[in-house]
Amino acid sequence: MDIKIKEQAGVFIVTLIGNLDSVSSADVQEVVLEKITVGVKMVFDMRLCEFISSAGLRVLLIIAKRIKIDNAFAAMSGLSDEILEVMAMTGFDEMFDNYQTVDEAINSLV
Amino acid sequence: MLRIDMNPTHTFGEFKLRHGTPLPFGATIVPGGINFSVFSRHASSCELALFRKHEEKPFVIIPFISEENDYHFVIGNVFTIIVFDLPYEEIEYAYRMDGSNDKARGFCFDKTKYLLDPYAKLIGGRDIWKQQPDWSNEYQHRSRVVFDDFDWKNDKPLEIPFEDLVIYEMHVRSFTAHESSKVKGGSRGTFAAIREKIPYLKELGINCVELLPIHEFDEFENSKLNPTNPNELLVNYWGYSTVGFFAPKAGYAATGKFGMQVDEFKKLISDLHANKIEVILDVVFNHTAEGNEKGSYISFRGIDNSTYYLLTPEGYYYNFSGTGNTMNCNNPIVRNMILDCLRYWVSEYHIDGFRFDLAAILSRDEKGAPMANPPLLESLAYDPILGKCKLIAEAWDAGGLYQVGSFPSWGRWAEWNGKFRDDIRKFITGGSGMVGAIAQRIQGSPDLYHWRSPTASVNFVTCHDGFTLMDLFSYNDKKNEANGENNNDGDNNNHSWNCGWEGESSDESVNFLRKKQVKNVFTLLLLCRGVPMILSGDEMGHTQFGNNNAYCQDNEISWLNWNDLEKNSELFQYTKKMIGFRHDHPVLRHNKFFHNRDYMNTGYPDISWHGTQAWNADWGDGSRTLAFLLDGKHAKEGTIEDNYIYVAINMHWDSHVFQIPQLPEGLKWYVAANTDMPEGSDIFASGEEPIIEQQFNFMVGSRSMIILVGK
Repeated sequence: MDIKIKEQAGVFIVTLIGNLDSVSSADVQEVVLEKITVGVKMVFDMRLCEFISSAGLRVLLIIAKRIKIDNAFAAMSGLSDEILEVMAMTGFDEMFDNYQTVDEAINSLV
Repeated sequence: MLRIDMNPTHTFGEFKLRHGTPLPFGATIVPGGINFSVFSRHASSCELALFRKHEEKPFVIIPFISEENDYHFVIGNVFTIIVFDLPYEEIEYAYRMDGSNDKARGFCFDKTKYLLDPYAKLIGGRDIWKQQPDWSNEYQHRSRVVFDDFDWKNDKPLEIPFEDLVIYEMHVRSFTAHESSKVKGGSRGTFAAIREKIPYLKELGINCVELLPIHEFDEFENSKLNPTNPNELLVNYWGYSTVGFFAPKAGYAATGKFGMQVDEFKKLISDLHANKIEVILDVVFNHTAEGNEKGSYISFRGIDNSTYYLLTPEGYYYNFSGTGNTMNCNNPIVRNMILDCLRYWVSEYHIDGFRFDLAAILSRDEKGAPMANPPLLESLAYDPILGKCKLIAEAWDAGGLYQVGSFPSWGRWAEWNGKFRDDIRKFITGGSGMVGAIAQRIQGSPDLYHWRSPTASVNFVTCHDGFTLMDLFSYNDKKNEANGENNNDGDNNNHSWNCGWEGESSDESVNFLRKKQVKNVFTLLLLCRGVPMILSGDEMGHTQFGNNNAYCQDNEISWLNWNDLEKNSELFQYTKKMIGFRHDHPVLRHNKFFHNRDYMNTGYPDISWHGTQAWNADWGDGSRTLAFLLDGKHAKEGTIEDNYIYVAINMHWDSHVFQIPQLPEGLKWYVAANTDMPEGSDIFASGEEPIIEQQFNFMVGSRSMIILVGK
């Protein structure tokens, strides 16, 4: 998995490309948690994320919990319908709001 | 805090290793790696085979003992190793065990066989229901590693008192597999689909679902083509043949193809709990899917045959289960495995109770003889983690041991009351000489459980095994040709009655009678002391077209047709309101037996018996009428006040006038239910019961029941 992070108008845009699974999840966790500080804003661009495994969902939940603890803000964008469905069926659908585009996700945090 | 023992100490090729920890058994994620631990008393050596997911050949086989690499990862009879840097979701693992192959001594080690871990918590190989596997693959049921965490949020154990439970026995696929269920296309017949139907279960009013086996099983076991439809495969549909006791059935999860069945099932349980519905699992510890001498190597047989199975002195399998083998349940190793398993489902999955299939087998010793105090059952009864769990026994087995009323209980075990089922069926279909027995069933079967509690009796008239309720009144004889056994399978002793016509009928009077009989059963079932259990679908008049043993039918025979809900709306409404009646009236629900006397000095006994004449029940052999009066002031030993409830039962083919016992001054009788009336006036919700004009007598129709409420 390729992880790209850029900052745009005070918001971290995290782009995850490929499969978020037990191979890549530890890296994602490390890189993303490093960026979370009190009040930070973060948007995940998931358009190019093809699959999220059980381990991947766990990392997202860990991130979501840290965001909450640090009074930070995060949203997702571009998750495929199939991934959204899997998240709903396994109970991982309450972590972040999902938007069609990165811009919509950014606007939701403002 | 970092551990000082978290680094590898040895290598095997490119793989970094360390001595593992023997407990817990199975594969456990530890810092940096995975701890593998497996027991075998008789194996001389053991190897760990690691596969990339779905691949036929392992990418490495690591021995637990290696002189060359200077390690010996064995403690006692446990092989245990930590392998570092494994991507846990991407791999599958198996064991290979070497040892004696002396069958007469019960040994059948074969070092070429890849063996499933008995403690595997996730099992691959049958990821999608009924999708043909690659039969050339030597390793069919494949151990996987799962990370045991789940965000249970605020889930709390419901601990609904046993006497307040209304159990709904359900097959995961049957409930929503039919397209009429209108759940999302891809998820029909899965755990996720049950979640979509929770509002339905809430409306019905049940507060416990009992799921037919959800442990991993092989739907292809003994599968064959349907003789009446050669395009269809008959499968192991019910799943009473376990492959792995610690893993949920992948094919029951819409996300099974991604290996996410654990989360999907936990989410279902979490949502059911949030809606105040408990979850009981039907567990099958009496045998496994490995069959008899001709069966395949899946796991136990190759790991330690003589430990896990009951064997004859010649080394053959005892067959008390009727399925080829019998688990050696009172062997200390097997007993601990069962305990570990149940503890795992309670602590990791928040399961509320278990129903033990052919539980009489669990009371047999290592030679197969019944024991007075079976250590397994005692361990379960006293286990701290299972301390609040409902434990329900199917108190018989296929070897002829029948323990209804005598199953060793230690005050903890309840039983499927088979006598309740038979007596109610005989009585409602017009049998004579049943009135005395029915009085016992109404009271929670004190004749069977007087030294225990009415909650020892799980009352049911239908279950997955046998006719559905609608079929009970539509068929005199079973119609099992579709099972491919020349109608020789299934019980012949159904106590059923077709109401005048065999099978589906267009005769309105026949159909009216059938529905009335269904209502009669729900009425009596939900009035009796004990714990009522309803078979899923009976509330909408589900038919299996006379098949009383649909164990292999993954089709419309088994699947609920949700269009029936509209067609038989009056049955659904009746069942729902009858369940509501039970919930509304504490006098019906208690964990103690009636005393049959007036210990509260109210002028009425807690329960009194009547007939067509008040205060004068006809207990004679020819009697088919019985009435009883419950005094609400005696509800729960007089600690709660309820209404008076009078029930008149007329199972005679003619109508009869019942003289009604008189109420205290100022109170009146109201009609809560009358099964002889058409939809709309057959049952009334609490507070909406109409008063009866004539307070002294009531004409009860033929084969009908009435409930009056005195208030």
